[in-house]
This record gives sequence, C-alpha cells and structure tokens, in this order.
Amino acid sequence: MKSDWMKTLSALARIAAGITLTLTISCSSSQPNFEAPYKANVISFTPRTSASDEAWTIDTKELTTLEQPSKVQGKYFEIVTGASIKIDSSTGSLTVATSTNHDRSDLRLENKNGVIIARDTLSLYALSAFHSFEQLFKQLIQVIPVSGEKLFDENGERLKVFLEPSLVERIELVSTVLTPKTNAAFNPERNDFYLFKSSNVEKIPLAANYKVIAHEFGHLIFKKSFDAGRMEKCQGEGEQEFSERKSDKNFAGRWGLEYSISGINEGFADFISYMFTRSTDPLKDAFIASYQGAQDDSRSLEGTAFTFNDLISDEVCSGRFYCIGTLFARALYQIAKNYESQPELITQFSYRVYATMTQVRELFKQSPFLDFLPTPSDTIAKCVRSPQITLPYDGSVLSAFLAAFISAYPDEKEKNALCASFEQLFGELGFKKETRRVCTL
Amino acid sequence: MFALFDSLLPLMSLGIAVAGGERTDAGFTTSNISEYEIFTQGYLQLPFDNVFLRPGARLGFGYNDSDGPSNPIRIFETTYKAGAELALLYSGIVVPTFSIQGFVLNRALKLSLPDNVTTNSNLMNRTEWLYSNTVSLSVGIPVFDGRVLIEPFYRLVNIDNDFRQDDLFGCEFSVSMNLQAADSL
Repeated sequence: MKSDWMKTLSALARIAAGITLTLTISCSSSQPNFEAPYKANVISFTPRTSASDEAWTIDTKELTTLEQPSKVQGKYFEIVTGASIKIDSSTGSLTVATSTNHDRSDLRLENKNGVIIARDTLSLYALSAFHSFEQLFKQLIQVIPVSGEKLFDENGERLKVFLEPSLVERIELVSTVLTPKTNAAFNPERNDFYLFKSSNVEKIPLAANYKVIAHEFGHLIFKKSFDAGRMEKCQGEGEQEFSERKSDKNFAGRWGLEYSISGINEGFADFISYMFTRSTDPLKDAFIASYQGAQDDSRSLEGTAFTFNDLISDEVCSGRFYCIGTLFARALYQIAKNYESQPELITQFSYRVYATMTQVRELFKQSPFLDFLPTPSDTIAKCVRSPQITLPYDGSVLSAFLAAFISAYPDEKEKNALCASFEQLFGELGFKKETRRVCTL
Repeated sequence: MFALFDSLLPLMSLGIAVAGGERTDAGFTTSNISEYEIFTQGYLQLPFDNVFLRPGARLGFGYNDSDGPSNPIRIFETTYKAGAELALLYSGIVVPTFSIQGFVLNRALKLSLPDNVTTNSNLMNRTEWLYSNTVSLSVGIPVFDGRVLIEPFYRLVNIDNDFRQDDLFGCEFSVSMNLQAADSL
C-alpha cells in the first residue's frame, strides 16, 4: 500500500515539475529586440494627386525619429498611453498623471522580419499616430517657414501625445471619470495632444487619422502664429479685474474666449490640415455611412455653400464656431487650389498666410483695428467662453480680425482675391462695411 | 482506460467550462473575452479524510468580443490552448478546490479593415505561441449523488507577454466516468 502511495506521489511530483517548468518559461519572456532604423506596419495616408484619389493603407514605413519602440517614444514627441488627465473645473487647470503601472505602459509589439508589428489594436494605433506626427514634423517646412526641429527646440522637451487618455473632471469636491470617444484635441496650455478612444462609428480611427492629427497640429501652429507661441489665461474674478478687462480690448486671455476667434482657429487648423494632406475635408471617409455626421459636408472646403448670415440658425451649418472657421478656410482654399500642382507656389502661399497670422495680434493694438474691435462683452470680461454666436458682437470681432488679416497680407493680387472671398462669405454682418476700407488701401 | 490512469486515478471525470472576463490594454480600453474548455480530471484520495488530489488536462479556445463589422481598423484574436493542472480539494457537502494550471496558447491575430483601407502586407495576420499559468479557486456543488459536479470558479491569469488579462470568472460542469467511485466521493 505504502509503495503505491510512493508511486503516486512520484507521478504527481513529475506533473508538478512540468507545470513549474511551464511557469518558469512563461515568466522569463520579455519584449523582443528591435534595431534602428526602425520600420513598422502603420495606418498610412496617401494624399490625392491628379492621377489618383486619396487612399488609406496599412503599410511598412520607416520611423526615423523613433528612439524607444516599446514606449513609442521619439526624438521630438512621444505617444503616452494609460494617462489620466485631471481637469479642475473650478480653476480651469489641467494636470496630467501618467499611469503608475509602468509595465502596462509598454505597448505589445513583435519583431517580424525586421518590421515592428503591433500585437493589439492600441499598439497599432500608437505606431500609426507616431508615423502621422513624424510626417507632420518632416513636412512642416513645406507649410510654415519653420522646420520641425526648430519648432521642437523652442519648447525644449518632447511633445506629448496622449493616446486614449481618461479624463477626471473635478468639480469642487466631486471627481468624475470621463472616457471621451471619437475626438481629438490640442491643449494649448501644455502643448499636449489628446487622441481619444475610437468608437464603432469610425472607419479610420481618429487617433490614427493623419488628416485629423494634421488639424490638431494646425492648432499648435495657430498658437505659434496668432498667439506668438504664448498661452494667455483670463484670470481674476474680482470687480476691479472685471472693470479693467472691460476697458482693455486686448486684455490677456480674451482671444481664447472669443467665439469668432475660436472659429478662426478651427478654420486655420483645417487650412493647415489641407496644406499637409491636400484633403478638403479632414473628416471625409472617417465615419461609417450611417453615422449622422458622415454625410455632413459643411466642414468641407468644397462643401455646400453658406455664408455668415446663415449662422443665425443652425439649419445650414450646425457646427457652431467651426462654421465660422470653415468660411475662413474656404476663402484661403480659393487661392490655394490654384497652386495645387505647383508645390513651391503653394508652399509660398502657405508661408504668406502664416506670416500674416503672426501680425494680427499686433495690429489689434493699433488704429484703425483697435477701433474696429468691440468692447469686450460682459461674458468675455468675466472670463467665460461664449457658448453661442451673438450678433452683431461676434460679427464685429470677426470684422476686425479680417480687416487686420487683409491689411497685413503681403501679396496684392491675393489680397484682392481674399477681400472678394471675405465679402462674399462673411457678408455685411461678418465683414462690416466700415472695416472693408482696408481692401482699397 | 489507459494503464497509467488505472494505476494513478481511481476515478475520472469529463467536463466543460465556460468563462468570461475583461482585459485592459496599455490605455484604458477594455474588451470582453470568452473562453470555452473541455477537460478530463482524475481523483486521487490522499491519506487524509475527504482530501483529494485532482490532476487534469484541458483543451480550450477563447476570443475577444466582436464589435461588429462597422468598427474602425482593429486586430481580432482567437486563442486555442492546451494545458495540465493539479488541484487539491476537500470533498464535503460542497467541494472547495485550489488548483494551478499551465497552458500553451496558440493565438491567431487577424487584421480587420473597413472597405476604404487596403494593405499589401500580410505581416499582421499571423499566429503567436504564448505560455500561461493560472491559479483557480472554486467551490464544487455535487449533484446526482456526486455524479455531476457544478463548480463555479475564479481564476487568476498570467499570460506570457500579455498583461491585459488578470482574471476569469466561470463555471465548470463535470461528469464522473466511474459511477461507483463517484458514490464514494
């Protein structure tokens, strides 16, 4: 009997040893080695040409600025996963807390014939987002007279791209965790990009959509040009601060709150997206056909025509201040499309737009543009963003902007074309008669 | 029955297991996973009252949840696995069980593309071999005089090179293959 037990225990010991061996093998595995120059399979966008339409492919691309593949960290920017963005609504401040579990911040990658292959969806999106940003840095010099390296040098540290972050909103003592979907954002306060979780309505995940990322990058360029790279915040709730702001048309933080300027920012970003991608609609083909926004062409530079007067209701364009932006972008596109087949000329045009945008804020401080600007509304002077269009106030802000833009524009022929487009698209509400005299100067 | 089993195991059972769980990627995206297993187990009484060792073998497959054909570009996974286990259990009115398992996994990765995306690269459709070890806690409920054991379980999961999954919840249903011996359990 005892002998039987010895046999049994011996057999069990062998089984246990087998399981232990399995455990040992499994625990000793680690990330594969990758060797520079790194190549990866990514979601890639090919701009349209005269011979073919724009196209999306999964392709092998070289990631020349990638330094740490498993963290998708590059020379100029890094893709950060597993981060929580904390928003304090009471102060309007944003803080970022990256995941404390560092093992989980490593993406799941594989080395296949010298090519980095994603082992799950998020890792594919991360590699693709990196490729998109790298393309933007490389092509930046074709859009604005600043190279990607210089743009980076001024900031001094890697730009952070937060992929699928969670948002924790803190209102007084209550924290709420949000999981935004189907969106992307640029945070001018920190120069951070947020690429939110994808959803079932997307065909091309926005987090890896080169056109959408180019649009968000456009906001960074708007900050660099219109805001001279500075982020001003409207602060102070006291009566005295309110009075001071009411009497200062250029008070710090005003332009980030103004409805019209928010629209211009969006339109400029769409224009920049067009310059990078030659696509007239950053959202074209991004969504499934049944999605309510999929058929909406009001964002397209070649979409259904509307004017500033139409924005009194949202029947023609329901995109709020984005609609103002589309009008501005369409005016720029009317000139740009003439240069599409001539890369040098279209780059020079883009340089002129950028250079003009850098001068608008200075002109706002001078006559006659200072006079064109309306006194800040009570809402704005309280540091509150305008939730909806307010005519004629927003038309006055817009008129001052358009007048300053035209006044600073360096090319006479294009200036005349811009004047004609602005007059047609913004009408007398958005480009007031008294400000149009800059077109004849 | 094979001779080896004759000598080691006075009682065998066959069963199926269904399990589900959630896994989280390097961000905050969670997906549901479903797993199905068939298994065979042997019962071996230890020299303590009502205490048994239960070695076993399992075959199974699992997949991540399908979000439908209208999804953006995604990688879908189907996993096949085979493994061995060893459990220690106490046979009472209920059967509390502690077990460890080791698995070899073969996972098929398939890239799902919408109609407006193409690829010439086949690198992303592939299979990979993984290892996994798990620890299970369960409480078996014998029915039909112990001929059938219904066993809800909680399983801690560790998959080599795949941190996304921590655990599984499920239930096993096993049928004794030796009815006389089952009575004694």
